[in-house]
Amino acid sequence: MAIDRSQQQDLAFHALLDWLNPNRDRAADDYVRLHRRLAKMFEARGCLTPEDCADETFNRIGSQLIEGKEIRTDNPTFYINGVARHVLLEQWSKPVQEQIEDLPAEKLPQDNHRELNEKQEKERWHSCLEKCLQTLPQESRQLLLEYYAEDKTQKIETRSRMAKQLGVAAGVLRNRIFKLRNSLRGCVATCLAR
Amino acid sequence: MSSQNDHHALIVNYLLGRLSETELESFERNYLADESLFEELQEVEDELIDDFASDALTIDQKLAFEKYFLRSSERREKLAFATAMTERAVAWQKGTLVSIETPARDLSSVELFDNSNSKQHLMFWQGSVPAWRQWVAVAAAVLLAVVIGVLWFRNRELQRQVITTDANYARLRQEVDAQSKATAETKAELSAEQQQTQMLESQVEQLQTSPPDKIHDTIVNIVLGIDYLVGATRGGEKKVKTLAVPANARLVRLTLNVAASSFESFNILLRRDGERVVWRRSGLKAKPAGRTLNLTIPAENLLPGDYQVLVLGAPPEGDAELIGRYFLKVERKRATK
Repeated sequence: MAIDRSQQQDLAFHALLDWLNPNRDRAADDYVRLHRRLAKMFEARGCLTPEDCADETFNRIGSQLIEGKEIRTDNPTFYINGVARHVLLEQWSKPVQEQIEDLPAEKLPQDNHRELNEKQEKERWHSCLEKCLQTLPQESRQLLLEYYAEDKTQKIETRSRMAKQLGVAAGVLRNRIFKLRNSLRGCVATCLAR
Repeated sequence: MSSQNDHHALIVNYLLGRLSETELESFERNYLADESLFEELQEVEDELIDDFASDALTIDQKLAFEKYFLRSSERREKLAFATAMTERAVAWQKGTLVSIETPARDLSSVELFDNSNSKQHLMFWQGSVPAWRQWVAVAAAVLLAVVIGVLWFRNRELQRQVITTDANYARLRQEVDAQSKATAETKAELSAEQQQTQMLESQVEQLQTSPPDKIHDTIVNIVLGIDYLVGATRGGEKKVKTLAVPANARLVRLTLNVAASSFESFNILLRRDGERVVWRRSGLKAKPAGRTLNLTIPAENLLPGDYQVLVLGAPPEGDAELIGRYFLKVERKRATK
């Protein structure tokens, strides 16, 4: 009995999970983590749709598995890395038009309409940022503002001073800023999406 | 310390596309196998964006940043955030400095006279005084009067500045109060979003640390056919698909059938009770054969309730356009013994 494309994809996905780890729970965890890492890697290498590239990498491995290919490796990430490099090479060899579509706005021809949109967009950004900053506790808000107002050409000195003031190690401060920034960025993105 | 700096420089050079092919290969092999390196890379990436926004990169780094790093749309969004945040922080810093530099109001302690030798001065004036000394005394008195006048004017000027500063301060306070009032309404809503973000983070942590057990039904597949898609413009009959998620499920795979359209890329928003976005994916591409979109979501994000799956077509430029929505009812099955 012939199976349709959707069923084939499901089979491939299950085969991939089995290959990642015989324990399904562990496999699912591995899949989520590796997909995230892979997408970030594709982004760093200039893939325009990193999530798609990561999907494609896993789809290919899944397809190879259901076709009967036996992939023996001590560390699946090495094999995934190899397949990912192939996917990347194919992305790069695609027509240039796709890249032009995703060029930064400032690199595209300018017109008055665009400038007006950019101005409105900037106002929306600031409005959402202000709203979101107000939701942060006073201390966190002050910490972020101090961090962003600092002279970043002397950041080592400035950050060690800030860390000293807070009574924490520089690494802890860096991690705290990272989490606060992420939280605030998420809030702004939600606000902008409304 | 030096090796830490080298490591940091390696990540920066990776992000700016300045590693050789051999270095790239070695870095990415380690990166895929090491979760901590992934986290570090994210931190360094954010810092790089902040540095660019505040003009702290070297000329070479700036060029690589603009030419290579900014090709990703997500990074451009992050840069927009960093730029807005830097502008806001600089404005805040200037505001802070103004309040610190407000002149002291108490000028009463300024002493203009020294009376300790008043008795001697009296004796001096009571004795016989030569004419030239009298003229010198008159000149000194005139000079003293001038000095007092200047000081009086200066004092008045300072008081005026204090009053102006107070007025400015009061006006700024009013503006801040008004702004706080305006944001109060959205504050509760945004707090809920933050809680949701924290919940997502804890769920991811839980996924990473949960012990193995003998659970089946780890992955739930559900297909939402085209007949379930309610269009944005022409409407359509609302059909609700029920998704029963086993208690032990870890992942839910949604297969969405969408009508053929000119869009090559799609954004998906999963909203609970029509309001909260519990999951989002952008840049999804429909498979050419079936016009289907696949979405994988950690099952723990799907609490029981009513959901809408919003499908937006993303044109190469401009805002995404709502194509339609699916209605989904999520139920959680009890764990079987």
